[in-house]
Amino acid sequence: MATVYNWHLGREMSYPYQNGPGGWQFAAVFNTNRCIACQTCTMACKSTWTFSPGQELMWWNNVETKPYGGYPHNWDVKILELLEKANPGGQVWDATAKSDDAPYGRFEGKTIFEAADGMTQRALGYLPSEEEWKGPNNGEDVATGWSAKGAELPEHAGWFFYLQRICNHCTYPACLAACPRQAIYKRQEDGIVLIDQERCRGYRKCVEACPYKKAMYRPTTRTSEKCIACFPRVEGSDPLTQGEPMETRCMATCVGKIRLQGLVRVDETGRWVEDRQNPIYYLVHVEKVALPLYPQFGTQPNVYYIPPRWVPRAYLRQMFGPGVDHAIERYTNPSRELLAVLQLFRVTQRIIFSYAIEPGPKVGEVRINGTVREIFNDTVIGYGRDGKEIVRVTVEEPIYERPQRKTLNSI
Amino acid sequence: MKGLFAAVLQSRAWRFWLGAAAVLTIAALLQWTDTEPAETQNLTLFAYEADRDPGLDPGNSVWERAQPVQVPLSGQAATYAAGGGSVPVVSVRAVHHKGTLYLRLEWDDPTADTSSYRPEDFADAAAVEFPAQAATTVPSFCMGQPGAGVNIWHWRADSEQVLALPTEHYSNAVVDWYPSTEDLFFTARAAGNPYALNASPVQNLVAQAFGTLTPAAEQSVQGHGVYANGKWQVVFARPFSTSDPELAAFGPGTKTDVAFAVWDGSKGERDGMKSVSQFITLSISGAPLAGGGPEDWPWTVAAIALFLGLSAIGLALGWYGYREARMGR
Amino acid sequence: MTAVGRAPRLAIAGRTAAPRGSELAGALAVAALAELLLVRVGSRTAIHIPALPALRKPYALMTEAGDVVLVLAQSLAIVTLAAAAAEGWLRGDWRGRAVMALTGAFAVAATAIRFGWGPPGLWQWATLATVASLAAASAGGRRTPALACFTAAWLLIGGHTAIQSLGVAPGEAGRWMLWLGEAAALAIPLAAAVAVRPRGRRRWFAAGAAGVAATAAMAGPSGWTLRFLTLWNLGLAGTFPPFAYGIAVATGAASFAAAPRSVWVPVALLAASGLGLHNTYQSALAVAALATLLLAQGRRGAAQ
Repeated sequence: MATVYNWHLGREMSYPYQNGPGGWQFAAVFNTNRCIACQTCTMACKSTWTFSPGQELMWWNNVETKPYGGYPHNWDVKILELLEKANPGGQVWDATAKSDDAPYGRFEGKTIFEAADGMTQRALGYLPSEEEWKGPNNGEDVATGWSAKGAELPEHAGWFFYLQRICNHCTYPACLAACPRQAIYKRQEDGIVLIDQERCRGYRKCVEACPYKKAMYRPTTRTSEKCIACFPRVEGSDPLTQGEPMETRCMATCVGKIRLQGLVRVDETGRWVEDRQNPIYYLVHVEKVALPLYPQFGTQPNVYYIPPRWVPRAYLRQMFGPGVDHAIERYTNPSRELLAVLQLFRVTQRIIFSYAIEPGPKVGEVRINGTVREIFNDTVIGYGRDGKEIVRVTVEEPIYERPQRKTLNSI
Repeated sequence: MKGLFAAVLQSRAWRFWLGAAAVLTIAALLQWTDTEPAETQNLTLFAYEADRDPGLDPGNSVWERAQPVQVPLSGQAATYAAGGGSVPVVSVRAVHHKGTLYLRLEWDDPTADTSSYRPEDFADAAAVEFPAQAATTVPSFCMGQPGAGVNIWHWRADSEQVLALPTEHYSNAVVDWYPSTEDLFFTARAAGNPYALNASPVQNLVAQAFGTLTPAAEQSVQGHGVYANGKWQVVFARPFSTSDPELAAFGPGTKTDVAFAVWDGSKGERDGMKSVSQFITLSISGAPLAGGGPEDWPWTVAAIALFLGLSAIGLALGWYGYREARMGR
Repeated sequence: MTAVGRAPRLAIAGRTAAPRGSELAGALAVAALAELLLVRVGSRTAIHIPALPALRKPYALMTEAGDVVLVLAQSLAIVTLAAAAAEGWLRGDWRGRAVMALTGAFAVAATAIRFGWGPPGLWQWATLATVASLAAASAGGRRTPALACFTAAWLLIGGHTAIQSLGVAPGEAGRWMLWLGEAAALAIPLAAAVAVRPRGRRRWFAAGAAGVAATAAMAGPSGWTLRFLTLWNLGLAGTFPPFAYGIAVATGAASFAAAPRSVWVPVALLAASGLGLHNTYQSALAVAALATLLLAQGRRGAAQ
């Protein structure tokens, strides 16, 4: 066991392998507030990667309704229960111990690696049965209750929200830790975690170990498969962008404009190298508006969520850690810069490596929490890997009026 | 002379120098001549030459004439993915015919786990392990040399089944349309994964010291398993010779080490979670397979006589000592 | 407080009759234990650690050290056996002659096995009988039950191997032999405790702690490692519940500490040899242990 630094937890933790030399890391921000659960992402993924025999129950991307939905059924509740049993009452945070290295405070409990015995399991986990992989959208749109008085912020009495899930391409992947065959590897060039389909012998230790249950077993090949982060697109080998890195299919097809995917620079300790103008870095490290999913599992996942602002905080703190209150506060009353950066979601297929803002005129005022604030129509510009501009968008969505003209089909 | 000897031994210094010199001389001799003074005394599995081809059928009558060796198994826990230990013993027979070595493993298992179709299903399995080069040291030490690989023949029950599509596996399953069923869309198959290709129930694998298991270039091991009456019987067969130095080679009159492992799928056993034996000796004899045991009866009589004779000495000595102690008291 | 009545005799035994062969046997015990640790435990288990390049060097170092120690231990075993035979010859009493004859018999068997003279089964039986006879000859007084358990375990576990070498399929009886052999092996420390009657609260407390630790280790995930190693090194399949091993370790530790110094070396050698037939080197350790025990006994006179 090596000792590695997990900045989500604000402390060192034990992990079977040392950190790599650093490099680039696949990362994304999902804005749960905007998702309408249309499952376009899910179908984009399925029609790209998992439409073949044996992959029927395999959804590398899925959107589940919380709190009742889950694919596989109750995956998160089951792992939380295992952890609670392993460390009763001890799974707590010290949210006061905040620093640059520990933006959410310090996790005092046990990670899945620390709760495992190391001999039979390297990460605490369970193997879901076939039954549990069926009905991937069970619990869809089911709220916790109905309130006759209607709903009101900050916390709705009856609530649900959509959780969009892909493989987190974790910095400390449990699947990789658990594979006795060393058939799983994490690429230095983009941090994408892949299963070597030639070496895999279908032991399903990765399926058992991944706390997010994003490694899946395929009976027609007797191997396990997982989300590959559309690596040909991220590599830029898709002809469409002529060598420029492109967002994954699930990101690029998002109708609700909830997703922004990028690559961030990481150092040899798993920390992010400061890169303030990278939109992902800005959202995660500067504004701290996007949070990791179940950071207490200890894998340092790389998909970050802007938490839904109407959901009871205790539930959200369990799911996203103690940074929830700050994140919702920031999202509810965004800074001028954050408001601009949020416009970058889903405006280009290319990966945005940095952004710049050109100030625009004041276009209005809104009243938030009793105070009046001004809204400026700033322009945010996204740049690609080579520093060339790839997109330009304003805070206020421009309105186009089509000149009235008679067309043949009159659309 | 006895007196001189005794006088020398009475001196502490003499004893020390004599002893040290003797030990170092012998150690140097052993090292120089690369001689291994010790030899295995463990179980020996004899493979005699069968007059008929036993084939891959574990029920072939040739096997009735081969003497089984009962090898104790233990759970695996030297390393991660520890577990197993549910099968206490495996019974092994060996014969050879026309330059092919045949091994038959037999063990008790209350359930036949032949499918790995559902995510929670694991198949029963068995494996035979040889050092790539027949050991020159005490057998159980041969794994302790970096660079000395092992050759593993691995049989898994699910590989005896066809790789069914879900619509074939579940009679009520309905699938509108598969856009493509070419190998490319079975990624592992396209990558040449032996399980995905379902080429043979037995895989020929190599592992280097500190390395990991990899299929060998030469897939020359055949095998077949049959489950009946609460027992698995699995036959492995491979020609003696091989061109690959990573693989074990055999021949009449040679000896090598062999170890066994068994997995019980219904207990979730796979990978390192298995019941394993230590190395025993496999002796391939040029002699024909007789009806009886591997030893001729005069040897058996000699062995029993030797044992009884030496034991009688021991008993007499014990009794003598006992009487002396009583009289002395 | 510990064994006031025994102390003078122990002192005399240690000073006046310095056991001659036991100096070599002591060195052999140290080498054999080092070999057990480096080769049979270290190299064997480390080989299964997944490719951690960082560990390659220490591993290679350990294997090389293990090779050296193994050669040393084997050379020491040869010299120790020769010295024991010589001492037996010089002594000329019945114990001396027994040691000479039986180590000689073992030397013949080991040589025959090494050079492949005759079927191995024959020499396996000879080895069994040699060890059993040496154990029987060393019996007497309170050590008898422990030696009886040892002999039973050796004969049952070794017999399971030797029977099969004669072409007899052990079948169900074979499993019982292994089970009974392990039961007898676990009874050795109990019998030893009855013989030496370890006293002292501190000693028992320490032994109890060792026992609890052993139980926990056997019950925990590492228990499988230990079972693996007990099978490979001691010939025990590890079929008993964890606490049985805990009790054995606790009583074993307590009795070892309380036992007269003269038996420490033989006991250490027996621990390194394991039970049953593994290879002629490990059998030689057992023969050396028992020969040392027998010779030391004779030296101190007839009364135990």
